[in-house]
Amino acid sequence: MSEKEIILEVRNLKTHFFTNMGLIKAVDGSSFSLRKGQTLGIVGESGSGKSITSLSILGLVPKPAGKIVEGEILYCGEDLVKKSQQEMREFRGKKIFMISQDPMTSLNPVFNIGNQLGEAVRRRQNLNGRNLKEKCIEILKQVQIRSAETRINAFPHELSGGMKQRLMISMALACRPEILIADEPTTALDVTIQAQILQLMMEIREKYKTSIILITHDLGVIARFCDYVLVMYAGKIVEKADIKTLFKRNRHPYTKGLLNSLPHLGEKQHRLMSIKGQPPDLLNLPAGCPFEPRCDYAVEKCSFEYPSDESVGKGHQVSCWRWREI
Amino acid sequence: MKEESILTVKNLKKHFNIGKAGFFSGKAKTLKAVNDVSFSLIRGQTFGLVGESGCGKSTIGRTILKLHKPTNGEILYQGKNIENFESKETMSYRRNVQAVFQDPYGSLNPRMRIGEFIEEPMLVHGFLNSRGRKERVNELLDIVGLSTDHARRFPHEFSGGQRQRICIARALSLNPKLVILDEPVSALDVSIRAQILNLLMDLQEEFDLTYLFISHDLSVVEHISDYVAVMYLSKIVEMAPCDMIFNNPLHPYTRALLSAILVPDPELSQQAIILEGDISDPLNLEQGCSFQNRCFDVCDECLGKEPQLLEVEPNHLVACLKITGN
Repeated sequence: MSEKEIILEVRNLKTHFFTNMGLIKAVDGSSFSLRKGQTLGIVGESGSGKSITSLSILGLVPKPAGKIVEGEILYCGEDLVKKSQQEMREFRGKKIFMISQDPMTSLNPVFNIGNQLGEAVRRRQNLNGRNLKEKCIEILKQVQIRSAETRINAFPHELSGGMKQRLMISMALACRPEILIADEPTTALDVTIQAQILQLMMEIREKYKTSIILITHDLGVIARFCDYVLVMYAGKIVEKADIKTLFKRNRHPYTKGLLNSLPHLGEKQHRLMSIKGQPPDLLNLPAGCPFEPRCDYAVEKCSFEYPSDESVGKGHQVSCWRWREI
Repeated sequence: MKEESILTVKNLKKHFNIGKAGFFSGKAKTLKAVNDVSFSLIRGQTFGLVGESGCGKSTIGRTILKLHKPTNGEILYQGKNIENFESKETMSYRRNVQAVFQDPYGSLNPRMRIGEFIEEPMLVHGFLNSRGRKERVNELLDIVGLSTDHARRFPHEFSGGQRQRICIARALSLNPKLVILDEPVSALDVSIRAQILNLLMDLQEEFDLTYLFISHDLSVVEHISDYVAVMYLSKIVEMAPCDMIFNNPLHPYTRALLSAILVPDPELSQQAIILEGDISDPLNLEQGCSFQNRCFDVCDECLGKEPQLLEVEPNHLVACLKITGN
């Protein structure tokens, strides 16, 4: 599957925030590519820059503090960074669609569902009146919203969290985007509802060959649904690998620590292996590797020089001075 | 192992009246948050309470803490109903039963230094003299893995994991016997979560604490608990020692819940049982089993008859007509 065409390529992306307290390098030199039909997972802790990566792709970096200072985001050869707001507006929704963590903030509370979904449908198809309504009901049924005929007149607050998220997915269905960015789509949901939503997203992927960027902190979700994974720490991609390599032959101490700190079902171990120390303060990052203060493998060099990406195997890159020994 | 029960909950019911205010607002509705729940906490052990949002697990915790008055049923602490306590006994009960909540920032006073914050419960309960309390604060900071000069700082200077450590230090300040942990790690990042779980387990061993661990995260509950109860819509549907629940789940809801856990291993193929629909509206429950509309194993009897929590094998209690029979 590695030979499929690249649909999105991010090259050396740097998104920085100029705040009153100082410069925050939210994304600092990320490069990756997304292929057609691929599910790319981005894992990392809060503040690691995974959401800002997706906002940069959409051209929605919070202004005026945030700015893409360097890098290119190539969509089929076009650089999205250079596009105007007007052009990006056309682009969003049609080509790239985003599902956020909290669906309530992406829905307008004063319009009913039919209205909001209809707006999405009209972007793709020129329908109105009864035809539009029928199309909306058909889409709602596809995402398994029961009694869609009456629900279409409901307002967002009348729906449960899982149903709101399904509504967001139905909008994605209406727009048929080529890239679907899902930013922690199931974090706010219960376990059984999470299973439903992920299942639905995977059905869409199979049916429409949509490429998905799945942002999450849950390695279980990653293991189950992604093909390729980026691990982010303090704005940098520290390791990228295909899913099997990442879980079996990871080479970065942070990835290793992250996997070890999960409780495993069925094996009762008394202590979890945890990563020592606290998450990094983005305002005062060390000059070298940001993981150095928490790393068990750190040597002197780590504190003043950031390791460059090194290729370990096919499609497997690591940023660590000592990956050979890990 | 001697099994001495420290707190027993018997047929606890907690109902809330909703929308009863005005003359025109119609008939008041009753939300049955907790409906006929019984269990007991054994000294030195961890009792895990799992369930989805809105199933009443936090209400149980709050009722034990005397933040809610039970509508019916009783909570016995060392053989005595906590509702019949005299004020002196209530003080001693409050000293012995402490809590740690989900949002560590919400439970910290932003204008209070950490030292004062940890000292406050001792002040209220007239514990030690001024110098003794200061020493105790330093001792507690040390126990939870913070340094003594943190005592002079304010909450905003700490990260999420550190804040949770501060809340734990405060809960421990009065040498409690029982600690109610209401989603203590849900708001934390994966690497920090492991640190806090390890800390909680170490403290339990050191101070012979009993935990009531409330969470929606099954893998965490499995890791920390000795005994587990699964709740669904205000009732316990299955209760058993931890191993038994995870190796031999009987109730269809527990089975679905367990199958929905995503194991972080890409090579493991999982067959998740995907439940349909959402949790029913707790204000308008149908007759019979509350899980009937989502159950994959539903039969006619489930619609009319409410299942009782019955023992199917030693220590293993299930509330399902299919399993317990009529």
